[in-house]
Amino acid sequence: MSATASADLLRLLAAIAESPSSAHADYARALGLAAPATAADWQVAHTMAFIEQCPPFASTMLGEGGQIGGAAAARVADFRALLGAEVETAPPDVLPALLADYAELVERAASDARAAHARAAMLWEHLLSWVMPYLDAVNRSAPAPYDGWATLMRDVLLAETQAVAPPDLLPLQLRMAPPALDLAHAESVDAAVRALLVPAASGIVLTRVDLTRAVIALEAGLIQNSRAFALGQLVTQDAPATLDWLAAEARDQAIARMAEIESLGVVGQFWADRAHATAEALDDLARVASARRVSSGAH
Amino acid sequence: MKPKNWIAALNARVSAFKSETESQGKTFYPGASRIDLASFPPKEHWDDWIALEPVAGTGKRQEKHYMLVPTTCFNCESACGLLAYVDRETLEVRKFEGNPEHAGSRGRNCAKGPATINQVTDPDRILYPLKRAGARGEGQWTRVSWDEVLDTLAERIRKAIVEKRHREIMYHVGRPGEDGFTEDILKAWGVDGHNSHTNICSSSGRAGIQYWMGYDRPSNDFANAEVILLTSSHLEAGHYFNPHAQRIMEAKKRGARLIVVDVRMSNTSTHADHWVSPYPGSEPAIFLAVARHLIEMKRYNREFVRRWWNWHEYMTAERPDEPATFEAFEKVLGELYADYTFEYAAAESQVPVAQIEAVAETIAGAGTKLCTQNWRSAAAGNLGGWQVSRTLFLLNALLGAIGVEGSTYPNGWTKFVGKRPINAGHPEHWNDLTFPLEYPLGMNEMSFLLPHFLKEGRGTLDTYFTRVYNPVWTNPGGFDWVEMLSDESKIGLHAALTPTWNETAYFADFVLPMGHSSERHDLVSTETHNENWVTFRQPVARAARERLGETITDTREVNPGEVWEENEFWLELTWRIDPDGSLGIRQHVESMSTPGERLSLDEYYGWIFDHSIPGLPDKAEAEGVTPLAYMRRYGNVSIGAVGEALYENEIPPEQLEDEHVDPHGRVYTRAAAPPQVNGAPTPNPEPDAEGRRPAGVAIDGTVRAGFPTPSGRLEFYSSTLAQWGWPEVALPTYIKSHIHRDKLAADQMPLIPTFRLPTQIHTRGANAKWLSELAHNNPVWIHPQDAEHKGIADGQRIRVETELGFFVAEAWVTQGIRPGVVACSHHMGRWQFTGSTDHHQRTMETTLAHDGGHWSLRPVEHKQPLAPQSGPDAKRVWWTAVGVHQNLTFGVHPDPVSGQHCWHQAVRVRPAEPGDVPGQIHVDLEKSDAVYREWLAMTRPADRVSPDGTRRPGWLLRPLKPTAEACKLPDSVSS
Repeated sequence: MSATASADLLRLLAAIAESPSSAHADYARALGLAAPATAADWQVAHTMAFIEQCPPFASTMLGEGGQIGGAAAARVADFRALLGAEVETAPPDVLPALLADYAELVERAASDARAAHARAAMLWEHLLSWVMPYLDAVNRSAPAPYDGWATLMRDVLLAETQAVAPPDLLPLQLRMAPPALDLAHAESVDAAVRALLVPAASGIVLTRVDLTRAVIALEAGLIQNSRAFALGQLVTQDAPATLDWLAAEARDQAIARMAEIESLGVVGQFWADRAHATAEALDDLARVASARRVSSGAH
Repeated sequence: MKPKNWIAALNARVSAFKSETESQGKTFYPGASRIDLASFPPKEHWDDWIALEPVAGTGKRQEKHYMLVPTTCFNCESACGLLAYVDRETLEVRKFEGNPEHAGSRGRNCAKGPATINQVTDPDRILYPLKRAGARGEGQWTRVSWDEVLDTLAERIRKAIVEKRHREIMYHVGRPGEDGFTEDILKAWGVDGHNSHTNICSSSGRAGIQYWMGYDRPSNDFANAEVILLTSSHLEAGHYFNPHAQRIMEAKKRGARLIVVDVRMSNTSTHADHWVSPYPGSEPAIFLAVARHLIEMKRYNREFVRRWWNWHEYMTAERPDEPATFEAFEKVLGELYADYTFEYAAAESQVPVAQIEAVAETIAGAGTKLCTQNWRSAAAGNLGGWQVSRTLFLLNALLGAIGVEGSTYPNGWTKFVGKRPINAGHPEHWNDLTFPLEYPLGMNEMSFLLPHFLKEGRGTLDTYFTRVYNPVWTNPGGFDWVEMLSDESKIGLHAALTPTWNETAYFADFVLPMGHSSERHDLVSTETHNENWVTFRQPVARAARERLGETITDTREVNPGEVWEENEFWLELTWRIDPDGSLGIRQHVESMSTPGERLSLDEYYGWIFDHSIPGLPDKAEAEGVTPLAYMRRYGNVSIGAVGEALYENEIPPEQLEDEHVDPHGRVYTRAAAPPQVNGAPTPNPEPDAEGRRPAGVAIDGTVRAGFPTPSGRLEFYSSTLAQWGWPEVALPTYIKSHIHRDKLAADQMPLIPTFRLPTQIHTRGANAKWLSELAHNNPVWIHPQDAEHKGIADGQRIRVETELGFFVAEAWVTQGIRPGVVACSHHMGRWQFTGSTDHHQRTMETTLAHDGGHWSLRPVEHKQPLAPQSGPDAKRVWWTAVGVHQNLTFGVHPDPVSGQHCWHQAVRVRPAEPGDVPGQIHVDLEKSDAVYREWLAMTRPADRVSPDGTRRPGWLLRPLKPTAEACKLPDSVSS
C-alpha cells in the first residue's frame, strides 16, 4: 500500500484554507506552495478562492439548491456531532472543519476500530462525495496558492482511497442528492440556469471565473452580478453559442470525472454520469436554439 | 509526474515544520475555526497582530500592527471578555472585539462591548477632576487637582470617623462590576456605608430564590436544558444577554423548548415555543397552576421532595394536629394548591386555559432538565413580586431540577470569588439609613428611600459618594433626589465618581472622572453557565506599555487626561484618611512586601492570583510567566466545571465533632469549618443555642451538605418569614399586585416601565454613539384596541398620568403588547438643563423649574435634542428623538417584605394637550411624600416582629455584616 497523508499534513491543508493569518506563509512553505508576498495579497487570494469563486461548503455542492445549509449540511452536522465536534456555532459543513475532523480520525484510526470506521464514513460520505469536482473548480478559478492547494488536496485524498476502499453503495449524501437535470422541461431560461448551478444535479461546477471564460470565448458583454443573472444574460444574448459553450464545458468536466472513477468507484460514476447527461442535454438545447435562430432568420 | 514517495516526503516536511513551530512556543494547528471562515487571532500572535485596514480615499489597504490586550466589558454585569486592539505605533485603542479566551462569553459580544470605543473616544467625556464653582446644581465647574480632591475627602472622612459619625459616610453604587474590593475598603474604614442600587433592581428576584435555597440568585445551565422557562426577558435582553443568549440558542438547536412569560413581545419571546403574555403581576398564579398540575398528576419528583424539602418543619410548625409524615405532607400539598386550577390562572392572567395547560405539560416533561430564570421585570414590577421568583422556583423544586445538568444552579456554585489581601473586620455600626427598622427582611439597602429618610429627619450625610450611578435619573421620584442633593444641610459633600456626565453629577461638589472598561482594574466572576471562571478588567494601555518594557505604577499615567481608576483612588484615599496609622485603617492598605508604602495594584492582584485562584499558578507556570502576567495576557481563567448536586455531598465524620441534630434533621457541630476556597456570597445560617455551627442535614441516616438555609433544606416553608411577621406568605403563594385589576379605577391601566433593550446601557448609553443610533427613543407601546378606544394614533403625542404627575411621550401602536397594558422602555430620556456650561451629545436640553413642590422639566423646543456637534459624526446623526425620562413621575413603592421598589404604575393615558412636547414632565412632590407614607404603612417593623431582639435575620445575605452587638435592636425601641 502506498503512503497516505499524516494527520498533521491534513491539518495543515485545513489550516491554510482558514482566514489568512501571519502563520500562513509558514504553512505554505511547509507544503511547498507558492506564498503571496504580503498579508494583503493573502487576504485577496483567500477571498477570491473561497468567497468569490468556490464557497467551501458541502451543502453548496450536494444540496438541493446549491446553497449553504439545508438537509445536506444537517447530515454533516449530525455526523460531526456524533464524533463530538462542536457544530452548533457555525455552518457545520465547511471544508477546513471537515478536514480537521478527518485528521483527528486518521490519527485515532490506527488504534481504534471505531475511529477507523468513522474515518471511512467521513471520507466517503462527507468528503469524497463532493470534493473532487469542487477542488477541480478551485484549481481552475483560484489564484495561488489556492490553485496549488487544490491540486495537493486532490492528490492527498486520492491517495486516501488506496487506504480506505470505496463503498459499494452510493453515499447517502448522493442518494439524497437532487434528481438529475431535466433541462428539456425547464419552465424558463431562468429555471434552467438555476438548475445548472446546482452541482449535485448538473454534475458540473460553474464559477465566476468559468463564466468569465465563457464571456471571452463568446465575445459577449460581461455583466457583474450573480452567476445566475450573468449566465441568464449570456443565454439571452446568444443562446446557441452559450449553450454550445456550456455543453463543451460539461463534457470537459465529465471527462475529468470519468478519470476519477477508478479511484472513486460509484462516487466517481455518479458525478461523471450527471456531468455527461448535462452535456448531452445542453447539446440538445443548443441544437434546438440554433434551429430556432435559423427558422427565425436571426443572426 | 510526482515522485514515488511524495506523500511520505511531504509528511516528513510537515512533521519537521511542526517541531520547529512548537519549539518556538507557538501553536502548530489552532484547530478549526468555529465561526465559518473567520477565526480569532491566535493568542501567540497577540503581541503583533497584523490586520488590513483601508487607506482613506485610495481604495487600497495597508497592514496595521496591533497589540491585542484583553480586558472585561463594563457595560452590564455579565463581564464578557473584550480584546482591545492597541495600535503599536500610537498605543491607542482602535477597536474592541471579543476575547476568545473568556470562558463565559467565548469571544462573542453584544453591541455594548464593541461600543466601548465610543465611550473611550466620547468628545464630551470628563477628563479632569472638577469642583463646583457656584451653587450646587448650577452647572459651574473649575478644574482641580486629584491631591485637592483626596485631601478634602480624607479630611472630612477622618473627622467623621473620629467623631463617631460613621453613619454619615455613604458609598452608593450602581454598576459594581467587581467582587468585593470596595466592600473591603469600607470595612477597612469601619463604616456600614455600602448602599447598592439593588432594591430598585433585583431584590425581589433574589428574595424569592433566597427563601428557597439560601443563595440569592439563580445560575442557569441553559445549554443542557430540555425546557427553558424565562419569566420576562430582562435577563436575556439586558444583563447576561450575550452569555445566556448564546447558550439558549445552543439548547434550542438541540431541540430544547423555550417558554417565555412576558407581557410584551421581546426579542426573546420571538424565539419562544410558547410566548405567554399575562396580565402583569399574575405570573405566580400561572406557576402555581403548573405546580398544581404536577402535584395532582403526581408528575413531581417525589423522592427529591421527600429528601430535600423542609416539609417536616412545616408539618410540625403549621400542622401540629397531623402526623409529621411525608404521606401526610403530600396530602396537604395537594390541598394547599387545589384552588390554583388552570381556569383560575386563566382568569387572573387572561391567558387561555389551553396555553397554560400546554405550558404545564411541557414543563412536566422536562424531568430534572428544567432551567428557569427571573431577574427584574415581573419580580421587580409588582407588590409581592418576590413571590414571582419563589413560585417559579417551586417548579424546579418539584422536579428536582436544582444543581444538576440542564437545571437551575445556585449562583454560589458557579461564581468564583477568591480571597483578597485586604481583610478588615466587620463594622461595629449599623446604618439604619440603609437598613431601617421598617424593613427587617429587605434584601438589600433601601437606597431609593434616602431622600425621604433625610427629609423626615432620620439623619444627614457628611460625605456621599455616587459611583457609576445616576440616582436622579434611575430611581423613582428623581425630583426628590434633586431636592435632596441640592440641600447642603442634608448632604455635606457629594462626590460623583463617574466615567460619563449624568443627571446626578450635575448636583455634585466633585465630579471625579473614572475609567471605562479599558481604563481600570477589577476582578469579576459571574454565573453564566456551569463553570467557574474569573475575569480581569485592566487598563489596556498600561498592560500594553508593560509588555513593551515600561513600568507603570499609576493608571493615570496612561489614561486620557487625568482619568483615574477607582481602586487606586480608594487605596490612596484610605492611605490619606489615616496618614499616621492611628485610626487602624492605614494598615489595611499597606504594602505586604514593602512596609511603609501603600499597597500597589500589582501587589494586590498578584497576591490574589498567587493565592486564591485554583489552577491559575499552574497554568501560568506552564507558560513560564507569573499568574499576574498570565491574567494580563489572557484576561480570563477557567477554574473548571462545577460538580453536580453538591448538596448531596456527604460530610465526613471528622467535621462532625460534638454533633447535634435538631428534630428536623439540621446537624450542628463544634468542629471548625473546613476552609472555603470560593468566597462567592453564601449565607451563614445561625448556630444552635449552644453555639455549634450548622454543618449539614441528616437525610436517611447520612449527613449531607444541604443548602445554606436555616433548615439546611430547600425551604418550601420559610420559618424566617413566619417568625418575622409574615406567616401568611411563608409558603410559595400568590400576592395580588398593586396594579391588580381589582385595585385600578376603570380608566386606569398598568404601565410596564422596566424592560430593557439589548443594545443599551442603563445610563451610559447616551455617550455611545453607535448604541444611540441603534436605540434612541422610548415610545409608549399601546395595543391597537386601546389606541382606538382612546382615539390615539401611531406616533401621536400622549400624556401618561401617574400618581405624581404626568409625562409626555409618543405612542407606538403595536400588537406587541397585550391589550389593557402599556409599556415604555428603560434607558431613554436623558437630559441636561439650560444653563450648563457643557453641551453633551444625545441628551435633550431642558428647563428645570419648580414652584414649591411642583417640579417640571421641559425640553427647549427650538433646540434639536441632538444638535449636531463638530466633527464628521455631526452629519451622520439622522435621528432627533431621545425619549422621555418617565421615572421622574413615579412614586416610591417599597415592597414591605423584600424592600424592592415595585416599578409598575397605574396610569391614565390620553392624547397630549396643545403645547405638550415629548419629554415634558410635571410632578407634585407632595404627592410623592404621600405615596411614600402609604407604602411605609404596609411594613411590619423589626421592633414589633423581631423574634430575637435583632434588626434583621442574621443568616440573610448583606454586603457588610455589622458585629453581633450592632445587629441588636437599639435600646430606644427594644425596651
